[in-house]
Amino acid sequence: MFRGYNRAKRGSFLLPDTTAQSSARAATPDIDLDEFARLSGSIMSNLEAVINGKTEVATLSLIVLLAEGHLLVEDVPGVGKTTLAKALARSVSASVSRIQFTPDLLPSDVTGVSIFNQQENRFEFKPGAVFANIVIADEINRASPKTQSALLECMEERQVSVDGVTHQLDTPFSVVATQNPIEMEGTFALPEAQRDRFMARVSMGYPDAEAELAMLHNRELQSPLDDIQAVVGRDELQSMIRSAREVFVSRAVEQYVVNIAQATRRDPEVRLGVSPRATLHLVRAAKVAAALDGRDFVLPDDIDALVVPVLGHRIVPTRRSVSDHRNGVSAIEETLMRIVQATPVPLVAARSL
Amino acid sequence: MTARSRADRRQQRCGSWMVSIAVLVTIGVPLAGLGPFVQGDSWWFAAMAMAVACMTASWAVRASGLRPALGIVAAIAVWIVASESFFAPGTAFLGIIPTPETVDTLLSGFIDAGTQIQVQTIPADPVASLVQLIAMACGLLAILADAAVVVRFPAFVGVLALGLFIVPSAVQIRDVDVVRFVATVASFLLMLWLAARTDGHRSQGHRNATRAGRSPVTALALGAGAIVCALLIPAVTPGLTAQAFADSRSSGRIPSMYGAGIDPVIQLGRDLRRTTPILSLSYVTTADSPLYLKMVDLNDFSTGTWQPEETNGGTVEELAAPPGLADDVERSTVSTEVSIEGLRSEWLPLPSPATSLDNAGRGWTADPDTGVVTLPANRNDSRGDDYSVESLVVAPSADQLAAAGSIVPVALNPLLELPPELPSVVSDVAREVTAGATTNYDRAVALQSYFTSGEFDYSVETPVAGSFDGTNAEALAAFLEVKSGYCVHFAATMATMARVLGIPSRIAIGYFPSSAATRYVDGEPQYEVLTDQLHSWPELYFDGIGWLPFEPTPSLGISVPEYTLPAYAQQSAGSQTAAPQTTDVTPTSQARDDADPAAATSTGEARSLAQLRGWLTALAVAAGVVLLGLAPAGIRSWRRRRSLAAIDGSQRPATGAWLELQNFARDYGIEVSRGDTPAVFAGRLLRLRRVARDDVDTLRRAVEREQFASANSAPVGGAERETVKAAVLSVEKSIADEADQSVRRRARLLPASLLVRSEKRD
Repeated sequence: MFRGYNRAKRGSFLLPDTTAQSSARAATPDIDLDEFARLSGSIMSNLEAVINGKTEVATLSLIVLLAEGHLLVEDVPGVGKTTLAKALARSVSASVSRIQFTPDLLPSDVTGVSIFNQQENRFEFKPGAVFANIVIADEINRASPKTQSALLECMEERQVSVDGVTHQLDTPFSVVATQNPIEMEGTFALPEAQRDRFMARVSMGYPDAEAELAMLHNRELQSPLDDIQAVVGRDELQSMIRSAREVFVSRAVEQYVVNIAQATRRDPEVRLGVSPRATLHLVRAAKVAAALDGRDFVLPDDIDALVVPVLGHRIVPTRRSVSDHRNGVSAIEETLMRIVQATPVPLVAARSL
Repeated sequence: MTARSRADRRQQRCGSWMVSIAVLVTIGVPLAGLGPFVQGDSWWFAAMAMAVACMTASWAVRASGLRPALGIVAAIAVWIVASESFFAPGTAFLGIIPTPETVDTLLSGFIDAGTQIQVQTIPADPVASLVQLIAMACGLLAILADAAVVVRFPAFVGVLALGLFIVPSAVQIRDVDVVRFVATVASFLLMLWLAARTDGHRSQGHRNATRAGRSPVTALALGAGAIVCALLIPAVTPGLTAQAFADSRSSGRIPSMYGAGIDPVIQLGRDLRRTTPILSLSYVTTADSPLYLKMVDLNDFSTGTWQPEETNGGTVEELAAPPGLADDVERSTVSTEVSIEGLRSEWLPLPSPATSLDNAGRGWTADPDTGVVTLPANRNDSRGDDYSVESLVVAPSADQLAAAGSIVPVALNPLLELPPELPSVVSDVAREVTAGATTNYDRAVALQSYFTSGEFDYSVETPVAGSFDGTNAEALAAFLEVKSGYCVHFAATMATMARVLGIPSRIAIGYFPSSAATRYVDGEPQYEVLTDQLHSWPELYFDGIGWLPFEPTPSLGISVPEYTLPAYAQQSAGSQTAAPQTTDVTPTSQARDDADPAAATSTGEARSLAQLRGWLTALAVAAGVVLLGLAPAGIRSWRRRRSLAAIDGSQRPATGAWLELQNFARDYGIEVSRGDTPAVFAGRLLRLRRVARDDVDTLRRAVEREQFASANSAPVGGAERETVKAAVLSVEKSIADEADQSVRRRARLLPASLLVRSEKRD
């Protein structure tokens, strides 16, 4: 039945491919891929102006923002974690708040608190820092677990419950948390279950010599952050998000993602494989990546490129595999790349539908 | 997780003892093949006990969860302890630790075993040293096999089993025991399967991602298929194969084709063309040299084809005296014991002329005229008969031969009969060749020299190819034309020419003298006669001497009777004028003497036949190898053509083209992994210098759209198909252009893509 339908369709479809795509796109009220590319391009140039030579990190943070996920930036101090988060937040004209996590930070500082209004003689909810479109949670591992979980609950539920009243958070809502992996004294590392809530983890890494030199030159007079203008309005951001959601994911790619996820759970070098939420995140991120690439369908390549940032922080390697490597991160990366390489990319000669 | 690993371990343990047992069987079955060489079966049990002890030790260590390598160490320890306690008892320190004395004892045991092997006849008495040798060797084999399994290389066990299996064949030329062969191979395959299964269980969790579900079943099915073919093909195709498969020695070889009512000459040709000569008979003789053994004479040529005469009945005891032999011809008597092995004939092979035959009374009848002994009609199967026969060796002097002149007794006139339509070429050549000869004997010598002068080739195949196989008159004319044939043609033509010249003649059919004696029985040589020694030769009658054999067939390496040589004839011509000298030069050697013992070892017809057979076999093997070698290329090009053709009809033309391109790349040694996305593979292709980026990108985009885009946005048009096809061909051409000559050749002849399972998933 479908076959016949397709054939009939094909008869009339002798148009070039781009035409077909745009005609499919025209059905939705959202922006088309060209507009998407224009907007994302301007955000990207903002980001790149701030962090020199870190295109991959910038792209990934944009992907997470558009996929409505949360980003965990993990690196040594002073490589521009916070700068990146701020630049991202400023590029879209969305509300931004920043929380510096410290051990004495209280959950109510994050979520908000009900205080008694004596004039009106009733409790009034004072929204906390999470009530923003983009929340920068700096050095999240410095806060007490209690405070951490308050934030993490907001991240997942996208709502705040205080004194029995539930307050919905704004959309879009994205948390960019930073974490310092080196200086671990007096910190509370995020447990596995909470790391799972971040869509992706990126590591900034040091800039190369050229980029560092350029940075010196740029920042001599003023911070480049000051120059950043909002290039995307909130509505445009919303429609970009919607548009990315529309990206087509074929059954083959879905199968591919599931195969990879299953493989992480079976791998002998992995103590804890990825969760189903990770699978979901992977596909959502891949959709945005495809849209950023100007495609209206997801390729296995999109998946492959995102496997390490999206799955890496959720996997717990076995002690042996860690001890075999220099550190845990590269062990995980190697394991994931091995799994990706070993998972067959579905290529079916005959149409199965 | 722990429960699963426990189950895994149990599975592994269970699997490993099954593998161990399979390994034991794979060793034990071929070991039993040594049965004919060693008496009794206690040695087998001793050897297997040793193997079982070693394997059990190894298995026990592995099953207790220790490292498999320790199992091998344990097996070696058990082997040492068992060896010293059984074969060098009391020498070890504390019964366990070997001392120099232990080593000495064991070594002397081995040396003694070596001596025993040389001294003892088969089957050997299993003395202690022999048992020690077998048992220790078997234990070592078991340890090796076990180690092979432990390091996950179980196929190596097959090498060990094969080594054991061929020992009996190497020691003595023996038939391959089909049952044992099948049993060995079956247990080997079972062992492979078990090992693969155990291995698969063990690594299921570990390797699944990389193994991608490859199963050993295919390989085992292939192996089993190969065995079945190895058993069936020899059975249905005679020739070019080890006959042993079709017919074991005990139940009788495929017999000689001599059968009643069939033209013996044609049968002879077929027997000569047999690929594997088999033993027809063997005989022990008091003669100094091997003998011609005659079975039947072809006397009758009046119908245009040489045929045996109807034999007249007569009793065997009254073998007629050789006709026409005058008393003054020098002769000696030779007695011969013949035992027939595989010959199935209605005539008995006898040295000629036979004078008496013992062991008669089996219904044999003798023709008083020709001396041909025939079996009764109800039993034309001579296999298993033994008899002894006395025969004469006639040694006429040159004078006597010359004196025979051209006299022909009236009684022999029927033996001069010729068919009316004999081609004139036969008589013309005969007269031309013998021009100038005065006596019958000179003519006969001239005829033989004509054939052996080098003008004629020996060939078993030419007559068949030229379709003049046989002895009829036309065949003789054709033979004289082509000058190539085998003994039948030489014999028939010479006999016919002799008749043309007025010499009574007949064709004898039998065996030519075999090579050197194979062994000595009571100080007398025993000769073995093979089917490919079947022969025919002309016998000519000379007055006062009787029938004398001649040997016109060239390049056989048989030393011909001396009296048939021109030198001898000339000598006789000279002796006519100088008579006294003849007594001095009278040949003392017998008529069928092989003057040169070295010549006797060269196996005339057998050798040229063996050469021919060798060439044919080599040719056939070469052709087979070439065909086999071309098979991968053929399959690959067929698959390629099919998949390119499928592009036109496929709903996903680009994917089909892409898969074909991947196979092509595999052929050219470019890495292709199933984990590659189209972009990764495209990137790899673009690393090649000459590959056009446009083509690859076109293809890649088309594939990605077909595979991963929504069905509505991936239209397939005729124009696109053409583009895709053109792009594939252009990329493939670039790949081929860039590759080295050797890579190109390998890609064409040994396409690596054939080794990859086809890309059908789901």
